[in-house]
Amino acid sequence: MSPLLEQFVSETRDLLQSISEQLLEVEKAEDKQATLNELFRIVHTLKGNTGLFEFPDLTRVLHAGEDVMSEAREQTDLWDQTLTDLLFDAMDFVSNFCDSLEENDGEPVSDSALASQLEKSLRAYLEASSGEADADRKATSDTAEKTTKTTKKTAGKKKSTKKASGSKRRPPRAKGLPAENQQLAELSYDQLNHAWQNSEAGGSLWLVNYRPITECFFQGDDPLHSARMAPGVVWGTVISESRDADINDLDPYQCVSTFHLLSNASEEEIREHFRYVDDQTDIEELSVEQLLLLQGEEQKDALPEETVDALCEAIEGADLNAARQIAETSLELLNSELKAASALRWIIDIADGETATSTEKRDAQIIIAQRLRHDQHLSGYRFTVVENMSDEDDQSDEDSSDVSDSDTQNDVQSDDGALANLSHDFDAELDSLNEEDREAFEHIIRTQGRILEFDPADEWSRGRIKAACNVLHNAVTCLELKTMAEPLDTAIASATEGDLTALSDWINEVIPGACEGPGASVSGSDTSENDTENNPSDNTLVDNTDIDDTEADESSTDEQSSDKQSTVEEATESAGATGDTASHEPKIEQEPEKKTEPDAPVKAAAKVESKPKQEAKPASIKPEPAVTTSKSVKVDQEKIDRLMNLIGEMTVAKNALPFLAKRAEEQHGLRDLAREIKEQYAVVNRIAEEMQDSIMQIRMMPFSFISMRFPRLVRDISRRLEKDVQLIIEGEDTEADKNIIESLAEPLIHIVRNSLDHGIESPEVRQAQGKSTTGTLTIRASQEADRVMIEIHDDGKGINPDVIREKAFEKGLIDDATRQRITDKEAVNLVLMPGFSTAEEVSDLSGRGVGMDAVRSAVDKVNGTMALESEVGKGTRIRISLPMSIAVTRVMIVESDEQLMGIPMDQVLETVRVPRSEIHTVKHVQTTVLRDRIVPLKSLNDLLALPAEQIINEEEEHAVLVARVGNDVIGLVVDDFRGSVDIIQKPMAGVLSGMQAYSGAALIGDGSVLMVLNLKEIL
Amino acid sequence: MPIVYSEDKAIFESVVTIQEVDDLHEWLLAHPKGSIDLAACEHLHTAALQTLSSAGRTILAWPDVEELKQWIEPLLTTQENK
Repeated sequence: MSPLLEQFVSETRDLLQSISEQLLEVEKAEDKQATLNELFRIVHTLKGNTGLFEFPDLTRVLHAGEDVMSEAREQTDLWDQTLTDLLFDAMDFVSNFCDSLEENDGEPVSDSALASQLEKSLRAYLEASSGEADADRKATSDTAEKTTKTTKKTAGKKKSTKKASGSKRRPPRAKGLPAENQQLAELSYDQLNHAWQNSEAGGSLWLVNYRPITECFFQGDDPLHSARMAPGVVWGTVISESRDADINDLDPYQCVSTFHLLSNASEEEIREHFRYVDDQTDIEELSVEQLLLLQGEEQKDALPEETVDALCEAIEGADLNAARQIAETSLELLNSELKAASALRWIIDIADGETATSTEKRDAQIIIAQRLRHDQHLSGYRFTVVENMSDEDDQSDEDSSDVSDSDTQNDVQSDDGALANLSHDFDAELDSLNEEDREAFEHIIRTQGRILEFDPADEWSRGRIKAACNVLHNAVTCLELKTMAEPLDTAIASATEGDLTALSDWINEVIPGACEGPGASVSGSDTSENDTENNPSDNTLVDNTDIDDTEADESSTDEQSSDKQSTVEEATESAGATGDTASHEPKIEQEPEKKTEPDAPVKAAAKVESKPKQEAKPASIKPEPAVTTSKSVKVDQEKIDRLMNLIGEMTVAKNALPFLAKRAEEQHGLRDLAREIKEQYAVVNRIAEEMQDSIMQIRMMPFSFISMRFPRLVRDISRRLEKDVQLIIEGEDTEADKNIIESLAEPLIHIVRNSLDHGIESPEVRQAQGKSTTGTLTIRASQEADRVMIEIHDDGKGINPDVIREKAFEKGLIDDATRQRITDKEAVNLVLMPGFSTAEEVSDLSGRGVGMDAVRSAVDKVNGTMALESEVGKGTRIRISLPMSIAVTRVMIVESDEQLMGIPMDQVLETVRVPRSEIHTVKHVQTTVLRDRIVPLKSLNDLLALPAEQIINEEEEHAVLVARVGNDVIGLVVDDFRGSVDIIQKPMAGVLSGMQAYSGAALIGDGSVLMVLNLKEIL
Repeated sequence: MPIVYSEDKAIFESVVTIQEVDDLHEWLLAHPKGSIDLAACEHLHTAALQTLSSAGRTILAWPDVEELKQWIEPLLTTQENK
C-alpha cells in the first residue's frame, strides 16, 4: 500500500470516529445546528479525501451522505433515529472499505451493490424530506434547482448561439456588439488575442472561476495543477491574497488563491475535470466574440477620422489586406499603449489569423471597428462617414437622424417583442425630429444617463436624480415626443421611489448604451444595484448606438436589414445571457464581486463546508486555520519500540557505572576516580530516567482511545435489545501504556455487551421493579499509584450466585464440595472461568461462554487483575486493575543457589526473616504463621529443581519472600534478598521460549542476565 | 532537488511540490534579497506560488514553459517591487 493510501486509511478512521461521535451528539444535542455543521464538515472532508483515489463506490456513498447532511443541517427537525441508523450503516460501509483496503494491500474489494443500496436509501431520504420541504428552504434542493436553472439557461444560450450561427454569425450589417465581460476586460491584448486565435469563431468559451477551499492542500490538491490541466485552456491566471501578505506572516499551507481560466472545451469536459471541486467552481459561458475587446488607454482623436473611416470601408468591403494595411500604417504612428492601437492590432491579427474563414474575420473586424469608433467617439461623437458605403459603423449621427433605421429596427421588433417595439417607436419619434433638435436631445439624454451612473449612495444623489428626471421630462415634453413620454413618466415615478432601473432602461431605449446603469461609474463598490439591473433590455443595443443606428438609411437592402436584425438579436441574447453591460466608460473591476454576490447565498446554504473558509478568506491574508495544523505526529509503533529498547540498553549500560566505580576503588585504589565516576553516574542516571519517562509518555494513550467506541456500541445494542440505557464514561483522560489500552478494548466490549444483554433489564421489567426505566451503565477509569483501575458498573439485575453455582456444577467446572463451600462472592466470580455461560440461548451479542473468560485472560496477559461484585437486583460491578506500563517492570532480586532471579514486585507482599524454629510442617507442607495467618512455605531451590539446600543466615533465619499468586499467599524460601530494580523485561526467545517457569529475562547493570520467575507456573 | 538554493538566488527545476515549500519559505525569510530563477521549472505547487508571491522577489527568469509562465506571471510580476 502506498504511504498516501495508508495515510488515507488512517485519516479516514479518525474521521469516522469523529463522525460517530457527532452522530451520537446530534441525537442528544439541544442545539443540533452546530453539531450538524461540524458533522457535515467532517463528511465533506472525508468525501474530499476519497477524491484522491479511484474509489467510486466510496465516493458515491459519501457524496450521498454529504447531501443528506447538508439537507439535515437546514432542517434540523428532519433528523431522526432512522437517519442516524442509515448514516451509521454508511459509516460501517466506509469502515469496511478501509479494512478491505488494508487487507488487500490497496486493492479494495468493495460491495458495489451495497454501495448503491446505501446511496439509494440516503437519496430516498433526501427526496422524502425535500417533498416536505417548503419553498424557502435553501439547502441542497435549492442548489439542485439552481443547477437546473443554470442548465436551462445554458441550454438557452446554446440555442441562441446556434441560431446566430445559423443565420451566418455577424453578418455584414452587424449592429450588435457582444457584451463586455468585466473579467475579460482585465486581460491584456496579447492574452485576448491568444485566446481568440485558439478558439473557434462563433463557438463558446467558458470562463471558469475556481476558488479552492483554504485547506485544499491538506486534501492533496494542487489547485494550480488542476487549473493548468483543465481541458482547452486558452488563458488562465492566478489571483492570490498571498501577494499582499507579509511573508513573515504567511502560512504557506493555507490556500488563498483563486484561479480564473478561459477554456474552449465543452461544458461537460470542464465539469468533469472539476467534478471534485464542483462547489468551488463557477463556470460561465461566453461567446468567443466577447474576446474582441480593446485594451489600453483611451485617448480621443488618437486616430484621424479619415483613417477610421477608411478602415471601416475596407472592412465593409471585406478587403482584409486593405484593412490590414491601413491598420499597420496607422499603428506605426500611434502610441501603442492606446486603446486605438489595440484595435489596429486586432485588425491586423485577425487578418493574419489562420483558422478563421474570411467571413468570420470580417465579422470580428467589424466588432473591433465598432469598438474603435466607440472609443474614438467619446468626444466627437457625431461624425459622418462615407455615406455611400452605408457602413453601419461609421454613420452614427447621421443615421440617427435618418428614418431608414426603422427598417432594421422593425425586424428586430418582430423577434424581440416589447423591447424592440419600444425602440422602434422611439426611433420613429426620434427620426421625426430635425437634425439639430435630435442632436441636442440625444446630447441631453446622454448627459442624464451619465448622471445616473453616479454613485446612488452618494448623499447628493437624490437631488441629482430628481434634476435628471426633470430634465428628461422637460426635454421630452418640449419636443412633444409622445411615445417616449409615457414610459418615461413611469420610469421617473419609480426613480423617485429609489429604483433607477426603469429610468436607465428608458435612456438606453432611446440611446442604447447611454447609461450603464445606476451607479455604474462607481468602481467596484457599486455592484449591488448594478447587478440586479442588468437585464437584457438595457444592454441590448449598447455600444452600437451612435454608430449603427444611423446608417440604416435608404440604402439598407432587404438582406442588410435581415442581417442586422439577426445581429441585434444575437447581441441581445449574448448581452442578456452574460448579464453584462457594455460600456464606453473605462472598465472597472466589477465583475468578480458581481459574481460572488449572487452566488454567496447559494454557497452559504448549500456548501457548508466551504463556507467558513470562504468567509475567513477575505477577512485577512492569514485566515484562522480552519483545520488546525495538528501538533501531533503519527509514528509507527515500531519506532517507539526501538527507542524503548535503546533506552533499555542505555539503562543497563549506565547501571554498569557503579560497578566500575567499585572496581576502581577496590582493585586499583583510585578513590577519587571512583567518586567522579559515581558523580557522572548520577548525571547519566538522571538523564536516562527522564528519557525513559518521556519515552514511556509517548506510549501512553488516554482511555478515551477505547472508550470512544462505547457510545455507539451501547446505542446500537440497546436499540437492538429495545432497552433504554444511559452510558456514563468517566476518566477518559486516564492514561496507560498503549499495549495495555489496546489489550483492554476487546475485553471491555465483552463486558459492556454482557452488561447490556444480561444485566440491564428491559424497561417494562425495570418499571415493575421500581427502577427508572433507563438503565445506567457507568465506565470509570482512574489511576491509583502506578495502576489503572477500570470499573464497569451497571444497575441491572445482577448475578444470582445460586444460579452460577448450579451452572458451574452442571458444566463440571466445580465439584459438589466446592459448590457447597464457596461464598456468594466467590460464586459470582465463577463466571470468569473458562467455558462458563449462563445464557440459555446463545445470542449474537453474548452467551457463547467465551466472554468473561476471554476478558480475564486478556487482563491476565497484561498482568492485570479483575474482580466481580454483584448484588441481585441492584447490579454488577467489575473492577479491572492494570499496570500503567508493561514496558518497565520493577522486580525484586533474590538469590538462590548462587543465582540471581527476579520476582515481579507487584506479586511481592513482603520479605521477612523467619527463624527456623517457627517453621512447622503441616500435612507435609512447611508452613509458618505470619501475622496470625498460616503461610505455606516453598523452597525456591525445590521448585526449580536445584540440588541445593536453602542457605540460612547466622541467626538461623530463612529468607522468606511472601508473594501473592492469584488469590493465594505463599512464602518463598530463598537464600538472600538483593533489593529491587527496574528492568525492561524481554520475552524469552528461541528454545527458551518454551520455558514456562520464567516470564522473561533482562539485563542488569553488571551485564549479567536476570531471569524473571513466573510464580504462577512454578508453584 | 527541485529547488537549488544559493546565497543570492533560488533556482527552480522540474516540478516543485508542496514538500519544498517549507525550505523555500525559510530560504526566502533568510535571504531577503534573494531572487528567483524559474527557467527550468515545469510546475510549482500552489503553495510554493503563494509563498513566492508573498515574498515579491525579482524573477530572474520566467519558466521556459510558456503556458506556466502565462499563469503565474501576472501574480509574480506585480509584486516584484514589493
